Amino acid sequence: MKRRMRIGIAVVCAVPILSPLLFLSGNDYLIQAATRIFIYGILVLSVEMCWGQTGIFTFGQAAFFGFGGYFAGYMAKNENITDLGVLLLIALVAGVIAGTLIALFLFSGKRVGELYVALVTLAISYVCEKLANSWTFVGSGNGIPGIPFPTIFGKEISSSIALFFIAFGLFAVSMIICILIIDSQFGLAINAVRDDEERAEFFGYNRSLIQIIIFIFSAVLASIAGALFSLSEGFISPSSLGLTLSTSTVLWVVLGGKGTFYGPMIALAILESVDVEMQRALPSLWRILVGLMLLLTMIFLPKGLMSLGEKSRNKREQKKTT
Amino acid sequence: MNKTIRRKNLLKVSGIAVGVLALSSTLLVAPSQAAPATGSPIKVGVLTDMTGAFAIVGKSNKAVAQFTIDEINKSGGVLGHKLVMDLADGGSAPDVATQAASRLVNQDHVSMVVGGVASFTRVAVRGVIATRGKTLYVWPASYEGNECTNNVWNTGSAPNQQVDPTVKYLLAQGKKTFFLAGSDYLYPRNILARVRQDVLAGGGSIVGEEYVPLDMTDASNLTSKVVAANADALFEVVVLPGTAPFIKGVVDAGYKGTIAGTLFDEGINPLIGTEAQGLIGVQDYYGPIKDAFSQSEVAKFNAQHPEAKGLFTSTFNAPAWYRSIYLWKAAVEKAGSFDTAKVNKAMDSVSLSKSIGGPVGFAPGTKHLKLSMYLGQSNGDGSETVLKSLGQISPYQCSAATN
Repeated sequence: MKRRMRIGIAVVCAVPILSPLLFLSGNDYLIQAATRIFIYGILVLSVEMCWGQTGIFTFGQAAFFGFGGYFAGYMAKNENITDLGVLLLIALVAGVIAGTLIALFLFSGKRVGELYVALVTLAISYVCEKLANSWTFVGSGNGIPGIPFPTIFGKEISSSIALFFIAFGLFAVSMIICILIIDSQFGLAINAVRDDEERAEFFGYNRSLIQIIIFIFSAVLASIAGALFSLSEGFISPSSLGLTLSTSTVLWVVLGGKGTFYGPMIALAILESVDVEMQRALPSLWRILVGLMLLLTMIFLPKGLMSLGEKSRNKREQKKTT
Repeated sequence: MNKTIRRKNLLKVSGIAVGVLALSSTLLVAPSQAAPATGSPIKVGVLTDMTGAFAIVGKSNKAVAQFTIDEINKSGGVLGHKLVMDLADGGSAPDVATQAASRLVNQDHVSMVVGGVASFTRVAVRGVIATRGKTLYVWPASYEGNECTNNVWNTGSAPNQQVDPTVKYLLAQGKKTFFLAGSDYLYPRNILARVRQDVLAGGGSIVGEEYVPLDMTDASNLTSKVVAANADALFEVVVLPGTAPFIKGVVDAGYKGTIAGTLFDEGINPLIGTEAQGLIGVQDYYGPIKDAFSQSEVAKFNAQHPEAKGLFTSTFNAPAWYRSIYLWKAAVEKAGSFDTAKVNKAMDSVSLSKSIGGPVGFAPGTKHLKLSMYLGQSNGDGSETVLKSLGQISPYQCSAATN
């Protein structure tokens, strides 16, 4: 078993063992915060698969997140479909459709540059936010509030602990699937496309198909995360489609180290858990500090926080060999 | 070799696990919640936007909340308890606001939450606070109406309280044709629906109704439509940042009719400049109203909070924030308890004989206030002239919504 998978399984086992500590505190706010970290974790996974593993710089992943959130939220509120399985399936289909359309547009032709992809996806996220903001059908600026809790076999899931485990379960499944993909033969192919599109094509890989598949896969992950978000938070609004969330996601990936798989999730967990407290302690400074951190990381640690560990390991290994 | 590495990894992983365990156990054991001991401070949740698009409103809200809480503490607190402000930043975004609201309710266990600037914040946080959180939520803003959720209380003006007297005044001035213009979202649409109803009922006619995107800054298209229609009166609810360019455009293009709206006062006029001259509106407070209590309170506020001097205005919801905390205090004292269910019951009929802007009180069953309202006219220098004191106006909301 490879190292990545071992860590993955360790995380999957550790969370249920450690989580009773969280529940014993009886603090719903902390449980909700942890739930949110796992939901955003799925979103981060989707960006890591696209950008970190396949080299598709998706700068507008929030568009898919919000898309799934709006679809599930609308169905739950206005069509009285509250079954969690059905709603997630709806989000999955929505993700496939949206992902396919955009992936075909971006990757079916000849090779396009990384920046081109970034700009187009960013623009899509921007347009979606504007659209949701002015479309009365989906609540305009108010979004969709008062989304009912999801149900499983007709039973309402309303406790934050249950929602926590649903979010964690979906996160764990998504993560294991991602690891399986990366560790497979197909994983080697997507990394080849990331490292050098042209060379990968020369070796006979269908570069276009690989990019389309990964893009759709990551759109589906983001869409499911969005659906989960709207159901557990009870609302969805245009900001969940837009630039702020899109850039936050890229920020987590860059800070943690794109391509390192666990780095982005660690960055997300750290930043999200201190965010509200920092926002409170330094209301006007915190955002600037985050921006500064991002800049410094990009200048001094272009591979993100995870490269710190790598550096020290390299040093140790150098010592051993000398 | 391989085996030793694995063993080392195992050691490392278990080391990390033990570390996390130890850390989280110290972090997560939160202080247990209990009924307030005699004399212990009571937390008042203050949710407003300290950052983002509405930061200027947040600055005013925070200062007003602090001012009101200080004043209550100076006169003995509530049921013998001092109040402390627990401030949470909504970040001008609903997802940030729900996290902040959840912190107030689920972690800090505040006694009640007052706040929210935009309606999208209210609809996002009311579930967290009032429904799931079973905590009293006071929404202190003039808004589009129809908020009747249990445990939620509205202390700003409802559409009819601002619109009815404004339209009545315009009709009495002999205005017959009206043009309606607003930003494209819930608040302007609901306000203008009320305007339409009032105008038609009063024998006037609507010659045009236009909506523009929320973030419009180039108003030339809308301006030319308004000027071409040449109605006697223009009722506009184009919100910031579009307000100033739109009104300037209409006035500069030579529109001769009267311009009325729901968002004109000393907070907004300076942004419009000299073109603000003659704008008509109705608010629950203007600087020059003839009310000794309001005058002395606002003077005190400006002295104690120089950072928010001049921000005590109706469009920044300042009078509503002030009365929100006092109305809650009155309800707690009436109920003799901080218990949400009891306070919620008492809220329905509490009133204040003195408040900034004049006496107010809940109209039972409506979850909204009977408010003292004033008809005002803007001056070119940003100030307001009070044309008429309208007395208390009832809200047509919730159980009284059919009017």
